[in-house]
Amino acid sequence: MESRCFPSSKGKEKVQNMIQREQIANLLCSARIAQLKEEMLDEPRYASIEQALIVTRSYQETEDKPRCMQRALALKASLEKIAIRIEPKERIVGNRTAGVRGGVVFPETGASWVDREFEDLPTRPQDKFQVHPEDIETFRQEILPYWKGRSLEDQVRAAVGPQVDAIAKVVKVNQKDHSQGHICPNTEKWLRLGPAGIRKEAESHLLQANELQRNFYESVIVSMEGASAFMERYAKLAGELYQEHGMENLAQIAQICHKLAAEPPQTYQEALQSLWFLYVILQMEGNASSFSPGRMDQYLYPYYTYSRERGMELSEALELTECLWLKFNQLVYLRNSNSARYFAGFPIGFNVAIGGQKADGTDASNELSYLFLQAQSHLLLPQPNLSLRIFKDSPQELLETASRVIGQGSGMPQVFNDESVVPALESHGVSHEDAMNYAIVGCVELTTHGNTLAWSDAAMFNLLKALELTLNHGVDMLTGEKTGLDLGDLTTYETFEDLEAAYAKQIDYFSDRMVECVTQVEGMHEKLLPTPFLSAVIDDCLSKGQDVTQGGAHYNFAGVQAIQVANVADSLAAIKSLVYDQKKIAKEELLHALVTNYQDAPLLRATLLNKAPKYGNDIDWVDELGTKWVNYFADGLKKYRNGRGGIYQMGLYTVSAHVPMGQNVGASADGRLAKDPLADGGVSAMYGRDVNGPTALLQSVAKLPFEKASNGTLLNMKFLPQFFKTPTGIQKFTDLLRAVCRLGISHIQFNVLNETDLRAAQRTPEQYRSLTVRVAGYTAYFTELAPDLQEEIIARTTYEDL
Amino acid sequence: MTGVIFDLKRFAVHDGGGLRSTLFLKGCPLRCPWCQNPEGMELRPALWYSPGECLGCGTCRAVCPEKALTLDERIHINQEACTLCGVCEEACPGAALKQMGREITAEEAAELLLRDQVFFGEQGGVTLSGGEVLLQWEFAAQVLKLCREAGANTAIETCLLAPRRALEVMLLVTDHFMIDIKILDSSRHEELLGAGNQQILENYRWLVEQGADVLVRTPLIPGYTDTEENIRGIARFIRNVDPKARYELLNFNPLCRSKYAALEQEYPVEGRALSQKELERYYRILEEEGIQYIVKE
Repeated sequence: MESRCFPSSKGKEKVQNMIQREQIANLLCSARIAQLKEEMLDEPRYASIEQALIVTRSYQETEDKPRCMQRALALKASLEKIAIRIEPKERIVGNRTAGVRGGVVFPETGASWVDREFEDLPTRPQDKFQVHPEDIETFRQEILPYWKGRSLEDQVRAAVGPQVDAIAKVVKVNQKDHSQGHICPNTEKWLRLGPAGIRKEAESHLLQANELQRNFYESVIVSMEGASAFMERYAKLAGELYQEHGMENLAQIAQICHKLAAEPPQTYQEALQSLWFLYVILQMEGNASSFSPGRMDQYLYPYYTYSRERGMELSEALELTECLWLKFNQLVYLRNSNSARYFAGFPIGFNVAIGGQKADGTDASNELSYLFLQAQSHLLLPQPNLSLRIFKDSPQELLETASRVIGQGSGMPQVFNDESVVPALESHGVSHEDAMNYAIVGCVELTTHGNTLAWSDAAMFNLLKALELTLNHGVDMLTGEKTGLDLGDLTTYETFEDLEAAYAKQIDYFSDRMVECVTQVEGMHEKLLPTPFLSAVIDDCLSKGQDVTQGGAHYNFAGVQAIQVANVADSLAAIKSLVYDQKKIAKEELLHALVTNYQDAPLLRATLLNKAPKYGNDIDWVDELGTKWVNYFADGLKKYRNGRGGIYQMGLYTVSAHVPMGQNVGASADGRLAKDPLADGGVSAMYGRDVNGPTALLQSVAKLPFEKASNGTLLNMKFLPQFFKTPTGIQKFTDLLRAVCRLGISHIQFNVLNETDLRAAQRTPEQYRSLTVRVAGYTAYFTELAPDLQEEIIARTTYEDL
Repeated sequence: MTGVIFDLKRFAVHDGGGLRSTLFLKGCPLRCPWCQNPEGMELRPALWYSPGECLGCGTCRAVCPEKALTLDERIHINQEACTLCGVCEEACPGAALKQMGREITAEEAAELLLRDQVFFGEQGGVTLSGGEVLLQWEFAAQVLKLCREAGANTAIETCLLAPRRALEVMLLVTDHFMIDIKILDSSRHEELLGAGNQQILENYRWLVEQGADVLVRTPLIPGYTDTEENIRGIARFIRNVDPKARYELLNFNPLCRSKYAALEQEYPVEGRALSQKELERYYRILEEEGIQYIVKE
């Protein structure tokens, strides 16, 4: 009876938690953070060859060593020599260049493209970098000659160049000139052991190791020595700066960095600093697109609690978090100009997942989940790529808090659905426990924590291009070249089923070619780019004595993206209904119109656009056409094995690739003109064609086989900010999120903006430096996107009248 | 049981709580000059033309068996001659011509509305709007009965110009009534809207007496309903009927002008949506009249 009058201890805890969350929501952004942010955004980005020089010299001195040791020694040399810097106001330190947001030239993976494009870096349309002219000269004299023929790029080209080119319009094979990232390392282990502890672990394995394993373990030990040395250098520099400036934070940094070189962290600040060192060093070793921290609110919670119990204020916890958040924005990724179009905005994908469930299915959210949302709400920067995991029992308060942050328009958090993701992973061989603990890497790719090499971006497969070739004797409508199988053309396929049978063969043909190329590329990474430091934080590499590139990880996948379901469904729906069923359009007429890009057939094109129903409007038979071919593609992957013995899995996302991939495709039967962009995102409808509103779109999307898309999916929706202005609006938005959850859609993200904002940003980019938009699976600065991508974002359907 | 509908709006966020699906029933006993949905006024279906979607190709004119279409810079429809045979709509390569209004069964209507049930959550549901829902009250009641049986919350938007019998039946199947009181002065109501408001006000009183969940709404139409006298009068009236009355003022929305242009009619209302500051002035009036529950978007 007592509990009626007095809250029980559980009730008390609930009340306390509520009070804490309210306190978190009221925390302001500190002056320190505001200043650090301003300084970071003001500093110009430069391409940097500093590490390239150190690495090249190290390689020249170590040519007699096995490759993994060469790599470890090169990393160690970089960690010992690279210029380092600490800003007087910083509380979390570390970077891989002295400048912020440096574009690191990484010759081990690609030097030839840098040679070709170095001068253009400051002026290219996407992802510009300033260049010191003397760097170009040094690069060409001291770096380039060594790597000619040695870099990953050159070796891949020599081995499979013609094969890759032959299928390039249908299949874009990735990872040819940079390291494969998209990895969620075992950060929890790194925090538990630190570099010294991991070194000890490797040393203990050495005792029973065979020769190959010995090389591997020794390379891990060398890498960890480098890591400790790196931390000590920061400790020393901070100490010197403390002598100079006398600021308390510098003394703290000195003490923490010195401690972390030899011991694991205990406090929240120590853990954040240790975590950041891990990610800087991973990038120095790999220069890869995306190493992701994953579920930071889970594994950092013990450190947070430790510090809170010893008097750390919430405001202190938030400031430290925000210091790390700023750091996530200081590493960017230099890609070649073509790749930058596919993955615009130099995303480096520090993906942080919050919320979701514990292994037993109960709610996992905690104070850190709310602190991270508050940090995002304050900073509104592109990194970290903040991901909210939701499930059927997600607390309403968490959804409302996240919705308000989404309403601020940074495109974050993006939302992942446990109800769909967990079964998808399990059906691809992931254990229940690992699946419940899933994280996101890069943009939207799914992974387990700390034990997977998913090779998420093995390739992108353009299903619409394969359809084009099927309709036209295997001949490319844009170039006239024969690149596919000649199975006939639209006029020779008696029935729609005949056309579909030919399409299936065409897909099979390119899938086979694709897997051959991907296997070769993977083999090159194994040969040239072992990553001992990374391998030390991926389970089971140390126990097996095997590098991740050799298959040392517990799970080994390769991921291929099927592109683009909306255009395939729309095109096939138009052909089926208007050509085969209703016979409203003659086959010859349509084929001619496609080959000539509707030049003389505007009314025919209008008919295709208006008289054939479109994907995204909850029309079952159209949506099922999309589902059918996605299924076909995914099922086709089952017969292949990747270079590390694992299976292939399908993804449904394009990042920003729908624009350049569209440029490869001739006019399509959905009324799309040649070279126009494809539908954006991954599973979105073609822009402007989802005319029945967001619920109809979501119902269409929900028909896709998400259990087969375990590599990740992407759905973009654009909302105007008005929707989020009132508590009623927020409540309705959470209803939408819960419906997405019930519908089993894996992922959804929201662009919240209005056209006026975007036009203004185009006119006066300098005033909109920090305006971020979600391009696809990540957020970029709007003003740093190329004009065509800016236009495309403006054109995307806006759910205006909300 | 069948009825005539002219639109279905999914993801409706302004027609009641939560996320809703709203079905628009055709035909209305009033003739409000500012009507936002002029295509819903007549019960009879009619051919509708959207100039913005027209390619000007003339295909429709060529195929029309009744010669009901003419083309200059746009298409003109002779509604008397049109038999709604559908040939032009089928032939149009654009989306310029379509039949506005179609007859469907209550079962079909319920199915359309419930298609999005997964979005309704705790507060959302289905709403019937119009036109005037109660003009087809037997159909409306059957639709809502089916939706309710499927577990959906039900609401209607109505002007209440209907026989009491209609309300008695609707009360059994409707969770929320969103009712319009546009003009308090009955003679002015009759002069401007084509019918007096006595029945409306009596129906409102009756609904309140029955304990129905009622939200009163008044659209703020420049030059018609937006006088202080009118708003104050309505507020006072409903406050007297129901001390706990919930009252919402709907801001003027000029977006329907394009519909009148499509119909080749003048839209008689000048003006624009009110600013927040102007709205605040009206809210003060409601407060002065003792309205405790002012609903704001």
